[in-house]
Amino acid sequence: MTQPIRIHNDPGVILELLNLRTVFETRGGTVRAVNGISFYTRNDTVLGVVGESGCGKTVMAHSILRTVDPMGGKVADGNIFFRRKNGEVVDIASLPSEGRQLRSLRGSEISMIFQEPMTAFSPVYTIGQQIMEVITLHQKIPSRQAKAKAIEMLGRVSIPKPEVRVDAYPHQLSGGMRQRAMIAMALSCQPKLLIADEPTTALDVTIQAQILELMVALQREFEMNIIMITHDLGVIAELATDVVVMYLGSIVEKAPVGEVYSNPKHPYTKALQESIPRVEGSVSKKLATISGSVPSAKNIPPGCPFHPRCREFMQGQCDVHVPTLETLSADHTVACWLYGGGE
Amino acid sequence: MLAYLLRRSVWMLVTIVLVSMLSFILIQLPPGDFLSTYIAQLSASGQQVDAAEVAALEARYGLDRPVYVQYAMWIRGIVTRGDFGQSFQWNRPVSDLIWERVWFTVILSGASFVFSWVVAIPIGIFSAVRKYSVGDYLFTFLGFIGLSTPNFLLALVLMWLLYINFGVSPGGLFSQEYIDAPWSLAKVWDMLQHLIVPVVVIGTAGTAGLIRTLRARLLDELNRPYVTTARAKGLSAWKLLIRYPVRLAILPFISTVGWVLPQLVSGGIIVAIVLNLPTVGPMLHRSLMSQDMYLAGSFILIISVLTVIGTLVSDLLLAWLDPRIRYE
Ligand SMILES: Nc1ncnc2c1ncn2[C@@H]1O[C@H](COP(=O)(O)OP(=O)(O)OP(=O)(O)O)[C@@H](O)[C@H]1O
Ligand SMILES: [Mg+2]
Repeated sequence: MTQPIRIHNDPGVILELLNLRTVFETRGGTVRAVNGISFYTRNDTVLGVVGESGCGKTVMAHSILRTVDPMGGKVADGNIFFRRKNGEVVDIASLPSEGRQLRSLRGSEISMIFQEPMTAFSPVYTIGQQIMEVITLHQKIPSRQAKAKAIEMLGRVSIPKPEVRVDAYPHQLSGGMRQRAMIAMALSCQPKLLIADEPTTALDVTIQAQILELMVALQREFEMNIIMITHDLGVIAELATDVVVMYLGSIVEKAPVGEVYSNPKHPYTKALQESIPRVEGSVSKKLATISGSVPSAKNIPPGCPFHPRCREFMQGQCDVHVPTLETLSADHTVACWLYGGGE
Repeated sequence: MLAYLLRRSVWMLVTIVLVSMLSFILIQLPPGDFLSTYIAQLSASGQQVDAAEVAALEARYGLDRPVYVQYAMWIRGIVTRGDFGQSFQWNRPVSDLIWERVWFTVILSGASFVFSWVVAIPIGIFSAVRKYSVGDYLFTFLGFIGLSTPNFLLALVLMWLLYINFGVSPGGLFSQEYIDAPWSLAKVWDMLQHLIVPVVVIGTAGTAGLIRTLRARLLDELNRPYVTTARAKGLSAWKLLIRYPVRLAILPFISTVGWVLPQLVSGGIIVAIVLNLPTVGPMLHRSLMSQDMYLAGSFILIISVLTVIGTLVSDLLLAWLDPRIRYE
């Protein structure tokens, strides 16, 4: 199963995963949290990653930064090609764990923001100290300049009175303000790639919208790539340009956002689509929930991982052979035997 | 912060006054006093007791007055003249007897405290970071042995080892020739050698518990989201560990700084007796037995003052290290 490596030929591609496998060895067996995924993402896009809880979205994100290693995970196989600011392409999967090269990428070229704005900052340092830390770590500038930069970044994410807030401790800010500060910290070294793992799930609906709007605006301003992880298809519809649909550690479909909504191919994507609550006229349509529950990542079904719940399951094919990603049109790929997947 | 300091200081004073009153009353609570015991002893041995002499003694120590007057006189003496009263048993001013012992106790508790932290913190961090490694199990094993060995036994074994190998005379804080010698570098060096055993014995008593608690606290902190955030910034493993999870995991230990002294005074008596240490514990114990009230009262007062100051210092330290407390 050899796929073409795009990143070497197309300077617009900044990240390309090839057959990435991340596992956790636990007492109860091997958890295949990310089970052989491949995708690439181009400059200036917002790539949405969706899927049910436990499908491996967070683990995939932590694999890209290799922060899975200290969590007990292991990138067991595959490549994570990333184009650095200087144009050089590195394979993050092959870098030594917690090594210097890896650390030089974190926070400076690839940043990450997390779901919990309440606990993602250390309570004992000011917001400013924590932002300055990442700046001085990657840029050799005196701390006074770093502080000015921190204040500037807090202003960029629309925090009022940034020159005061810079000296505030996390517990003195509201959840929304903290998430803005988190974004300011993530962007303070102008990374090329920002991975946001459900950045708004813990916030009020109105704050959610503000934060998402801010992220889109900053994405354009900083000309960076965002990978937006969520299980909220509404969020995806609002700001993603492309969508990756994950199921049990695999990618089942990848397409431009319009295609996913207007022309979903994979039975799982279709089911996800139908499960969005929608109001049509005055009659709200009944939710079509996906039957069955997600199997455990310790015990992934043979063949297509979705076959036990699939409405279009084909005996002898789907439960035996693993479908590979099949290209339907330029940017639309799907892993399903309905579309002749596999060699 | 200033208001906090002021409020705490006022409370500190109130606490000290209350503790001193209570201890003074408690000491007087058992029937009889030192003088009546003394008289009883004298008459039992057939000696004549001159009533005029008894009256003179009573007047001198104020024993014929009500308790609160005695208390007031005692406190006034301390505040105005640094006079803690007279020890009946030793027939000497209390202030001659206690200061040396108080300072030795403070030095000993301080040194034991530093020792236990210096040992426990690196081991605790190691055990948490390398959870379930051979080293973690080894330290756990050693810790349980340490917990289950009586302190005085460890003291005896260490004294014996030190004597056999280095010829350091066991027990006490000084070798024979230095006991009454004036202070000199040689005397300090001699004292340091004698401090090793008590510091190790008293220090290790708390070390095992400290390691277990730190390990558990750190294991909690290691999985917190802020650690992942900091790691995603590109910090090196060491800086990350020390600046983030360790920094939070040690916070609860700061508040124990203030308890060190009373713990040593009340818990270290057996060790102090075995090691023949001139600390507060044994003398306080004896003075309570013989109702030597000014001596016992002075010890309790000084220890309380030092404890209250210790608590204030640890609270200030905690407020300084943890902004969540500072901005309550
Ligand atoms: N530290 C770990 N040790 C063992 N298994 C883990 C660990 N972290 C995650 N997993 C497992 O990996 C799988 C993928 O988890 P992941 O957190 O990536 O899901 P997710 O898609 O982010 O879900 P959610 O939407 O709930 O955040 C799950 O089966 C989970 O149990
Ligand atoms: Mg997740």
